[in-house]
Amino acid sequence: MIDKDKLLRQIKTNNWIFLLILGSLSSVFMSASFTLGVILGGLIIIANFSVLQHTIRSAFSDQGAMLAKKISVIANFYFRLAIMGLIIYILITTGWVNPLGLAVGLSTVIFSILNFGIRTAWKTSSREAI
Amino acid sequence: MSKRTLIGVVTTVFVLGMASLAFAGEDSAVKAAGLWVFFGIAIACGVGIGLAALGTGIGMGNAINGALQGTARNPEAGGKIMTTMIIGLALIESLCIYALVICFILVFKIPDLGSMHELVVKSLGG
Repeated sequence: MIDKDKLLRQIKTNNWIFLLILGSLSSVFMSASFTLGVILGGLIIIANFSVLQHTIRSAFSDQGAMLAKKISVIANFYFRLAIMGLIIYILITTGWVNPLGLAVGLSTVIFSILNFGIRTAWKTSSREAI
Repeated sequence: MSKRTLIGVVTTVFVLGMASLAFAGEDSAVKAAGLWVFFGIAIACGVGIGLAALGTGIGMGNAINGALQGTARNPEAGGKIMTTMIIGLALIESLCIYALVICFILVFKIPDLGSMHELVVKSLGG
């Protein structure tokens, strides 16, 4: 069984690795605005993931009991979403970034989680085969 | 859908439909088709983000429901369940973020009211 902190740490490390890979690939093959979109999208989604984790961890104990006030948890949740929506809105309206690049950057965490899931499934199946 | 909303939607569709039929020249018909595209974009943005939010809400609700039930039955496993839930929530939330980005991209393709008015006047031969 994978340790819970190790799992999150691995995913967070993977996030940065994927952002680096995507950023460098787009800087070689795509335009500057696309690359900027990938990098900013990646940074936004990584920050969003960290804040989401922090909000839920500070809201609930390991036994599921509520630690923080319900209203502050809800406020934090919507504040995070509003800030992210605002940043994406500003980035798209000003035209600083390519929207497609932004979408690719926003997929960083998805790629990372999928990669982690596939690797874990692969390890489990190969261990069962032995 | 309330009666008033339904009447509003039907009237809009009827007026746009009649306008496109009434255009005599080929050029006007093309412009009318352009108006239909903008109409479609506006509807797609509203409905699209609404559906995405609905799906995300249902998905997150299910995930949190399952996690809390699991934690209540086995409090020892609470930490692991919570970690998996956080990862699941990030995956679900990203779908709504994609929808938001696509809606922003689409919605800025619609011209402002002034340009739209000019387009309508031109398409009516004014």
